[in-house]
Amino acid sequence: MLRARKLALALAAFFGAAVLRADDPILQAEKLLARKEYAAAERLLRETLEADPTSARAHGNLALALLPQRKLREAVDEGRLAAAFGPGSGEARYIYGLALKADGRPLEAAREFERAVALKPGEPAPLEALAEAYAAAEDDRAAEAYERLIGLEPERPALRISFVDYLWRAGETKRGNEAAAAALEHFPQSIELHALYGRALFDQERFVDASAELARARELGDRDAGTLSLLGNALWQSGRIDAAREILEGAVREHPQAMSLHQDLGRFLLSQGQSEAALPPLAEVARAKPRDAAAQLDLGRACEGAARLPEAEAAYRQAVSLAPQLSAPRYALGRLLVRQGRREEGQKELAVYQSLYTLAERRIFESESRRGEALLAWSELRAGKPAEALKHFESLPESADSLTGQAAALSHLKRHREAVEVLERARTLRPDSPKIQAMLAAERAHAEQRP
Amino acid sequence: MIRLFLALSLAAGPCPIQFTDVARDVRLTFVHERGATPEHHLPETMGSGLAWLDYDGDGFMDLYVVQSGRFPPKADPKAQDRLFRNNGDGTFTDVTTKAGLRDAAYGMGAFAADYDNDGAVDLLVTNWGGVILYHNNGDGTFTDVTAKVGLKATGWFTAAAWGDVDGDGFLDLFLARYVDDRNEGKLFCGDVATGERMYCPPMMYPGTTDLLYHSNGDGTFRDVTREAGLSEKVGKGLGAVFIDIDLDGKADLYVANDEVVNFLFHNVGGRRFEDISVLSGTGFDPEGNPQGGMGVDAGDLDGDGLPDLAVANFEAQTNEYYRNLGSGVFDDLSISSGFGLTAGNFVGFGLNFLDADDSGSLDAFIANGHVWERPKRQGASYAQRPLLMWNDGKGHFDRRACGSALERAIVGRGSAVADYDNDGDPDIAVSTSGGSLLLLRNDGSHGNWLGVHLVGKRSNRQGIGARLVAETPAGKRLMRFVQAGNSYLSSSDPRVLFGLGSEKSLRRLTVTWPSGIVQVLENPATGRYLRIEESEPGRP
Repeated sequence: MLRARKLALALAAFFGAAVLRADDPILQAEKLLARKEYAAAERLLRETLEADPTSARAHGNLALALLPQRKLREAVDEGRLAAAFGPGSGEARYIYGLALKADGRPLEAAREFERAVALKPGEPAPLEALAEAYAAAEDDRAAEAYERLIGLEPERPALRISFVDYLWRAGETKRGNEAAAAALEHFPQSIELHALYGRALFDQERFVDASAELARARELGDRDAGTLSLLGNALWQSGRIDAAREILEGAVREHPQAMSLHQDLGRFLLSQGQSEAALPPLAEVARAKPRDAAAQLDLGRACEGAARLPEAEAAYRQAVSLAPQLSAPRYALGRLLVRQGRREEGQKELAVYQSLYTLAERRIFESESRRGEALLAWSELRAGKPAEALKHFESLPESADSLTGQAAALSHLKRHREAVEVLERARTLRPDSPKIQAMLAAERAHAEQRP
Repeated sequence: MIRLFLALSLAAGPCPIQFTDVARDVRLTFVHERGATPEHHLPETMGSGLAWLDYDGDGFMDLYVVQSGRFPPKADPKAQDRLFRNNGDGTFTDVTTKAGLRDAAYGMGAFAADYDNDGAVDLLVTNWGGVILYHNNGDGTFTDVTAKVGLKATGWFTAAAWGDVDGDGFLDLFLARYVDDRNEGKLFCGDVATGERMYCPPMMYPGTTDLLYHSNGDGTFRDVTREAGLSEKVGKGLGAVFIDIDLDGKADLYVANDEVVNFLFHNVGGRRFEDISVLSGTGFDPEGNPQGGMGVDAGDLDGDGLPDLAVANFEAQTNEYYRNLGSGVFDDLSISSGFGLTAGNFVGFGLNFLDADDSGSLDAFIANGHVWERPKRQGASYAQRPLLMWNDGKGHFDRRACGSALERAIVGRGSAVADYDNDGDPDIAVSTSGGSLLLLRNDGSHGNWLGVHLVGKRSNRQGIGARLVAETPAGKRLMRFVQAGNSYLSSSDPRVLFGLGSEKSLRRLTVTWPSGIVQVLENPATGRYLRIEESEPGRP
């Protein structure tokens, strides 16, 4: 869905484009758009275009009226007409790009955003759209676009957040952290930034730093259950056991309806060997989620730790019946039965567990070793050894990732036609990938240039 | 996925004894060479082990230290393992050359035992690529008999353990292999953008099978892996110990594997093993997850007369304490006992049970050290301090600060326990990856004690596998086992040391030999090492 802010920006761009009389229907339509009266705006703009079918501004505004109504194809047509009748208009290119993006055509959208940025280099809206388009396509140019954008709008925390988020997703952990730290220097009171940075640090296993950022977010007023949960877990991981308990218990009091917090607290207490204390929160979760196997399993563990064996067995059995394909409840039940001297019953559950474990172990090895092999190929490509990289990518089982790697290597070897073929196969495996679409477009262009 | 874990900074309690690193003072000068390369080959992370053995029969424990060297291995003097003779005056002398030891392979572990019952302790060394068995000639020298005795297998050998599996009086040999790293060249781990490598995790490598060699009784061995039912068991072994878990007189086998299920093999009739890893509860953590198992040990931690098991594990995992409930079933007490509560950021390798203060209960020493120079997990470091987990006598543990040597961070790997100065308390040798060897001398006041040196007749010469029970006048029963191979890539003093605390005497000492012979000594004198030769009841 097109964001209201972008609509407003696009409109603002048009307002600045030319001076119109107060009773001009285009101006009236723009007022309707600002009030989100899209259908009324559409009617008025269609009437206007009947009178002047060459008005780029009217076509652009009509596209903007159609987008929120999900009339995407028509919006694209109107956007194209706006661009055609206003070839020097950055606004028209931008609106056309927005329509293309909404219609699921990110590559064409990015091309229009590039044109819009070229025509209006000081305008943030098209540059933001371009940065987002590059980021979605995992295009390295996203970072530069975001940096330019932040230069244009240094006081918008949201841009910093998008930028650091992009860097982290792109695997540029260090640069992302630096950008986050810089953003926090600029916006030290931003709850969202502290929480986002804390979350990223947690994912990076920097639990001490994560707990500091998350605690700061909390001090600034963040009462989000997710933030509190993460803060409790970060403290736990940092070895600050008492503080973790205090946060998790406080979070449960503050959000009594948030079962995830009850679960966090219960699991934390279980890990500290405090099964009796873990029982109430985990029983609460099991009551609230009677069809959740994990909740039943947690409850069983707490009961078992508290020597309430019949209740533990009942909870484990419930978990097994809810999720027979899950291995953990089988293990818990089997072990409980064996320890109670019910060896044969326990053995049956443990046999199921063992077969599930064996499958999982094989899957882990296969995925891990494939990951290592793929990383080798990518590193070779980065090191300027495309032939070696291609050989390694080709040796991997066919997947969207391995085909993408093959295409990248073929591209480096200037074998663009083969790259196109490979990417076509990749696209069938992952049809919605902006990255594959972007690569495909680029390789096609190269292939057309080279006989 | 991140596992959520435990208290990292539990304060260490006071300790009545102190461990002092005296390696340099006693001339145990050895620096491990791990051969780190930009390619980051996995063997470079392993460090090495060590073995205590009285190779010259003078009553003092000597020390064999395994060297790694350059990787891939090349004939390199830097890769030469070392044998240090205990001079009996508290110092050591490097006798490697004199003893005819020439192992310059990329070394892993060392495991001493008198495999041919000739009264001279032999030595098995595991290496990346193969093993070497050194026969002790009884004159201070050794001869490489590997090929002659039939130990020709190849692979990445790590842990080993000696035990008389079939009760024929000759020691059989279990050899653990880690992973198959032949395709390591196809893997990359690290930063693709910069090309900077780091070590790949074991999950990326296929596991391998371990091997069991039966002693033919004539000094040669035969591979009985298939007959014993072990040929289909694929693991990533780093620790192994023979231990009679059900006290049926037959040596069972426990193997710690890295990130896959640990093995507990129950000895059925002396010829075949039954896999009870999952059934017993010793294969995984309490939730059924495999852990990064390294060192292992076995012993009666809670004084209930059954041997328990423990495993040192990777960071963000607990060090495991499996309490033996009998009938091949164990309970995981890692959390409730406090044994695993300090694990957190530590990567555990060497693990030894020892009665540090001769109080009568087994404590645990754990040598820690990361495998990555720059650990990803915040708060974790490459060099880490070792842990001494103090046993309250009932199987409850807390960390104790027993001297500055235990507060110093090292990249710990193998560890082996011996009373090297024969003063009745256990000392610890610790190898470090890429660093100096440590000898942690046990200082301070401790309880009364009795040391026992077994000499087998019908059983194997060292009585490996024997069970000893000491009964105090107050009725306390202390059970100990004779082992050859435990911890991480190491083997300890085969003599048994009983700490007696404030008890001035012992009421009775019972030795159950691997042959099944039970020998009872009434009121043995304490405060000394007692040599006990195996004899039939009624015979001297």
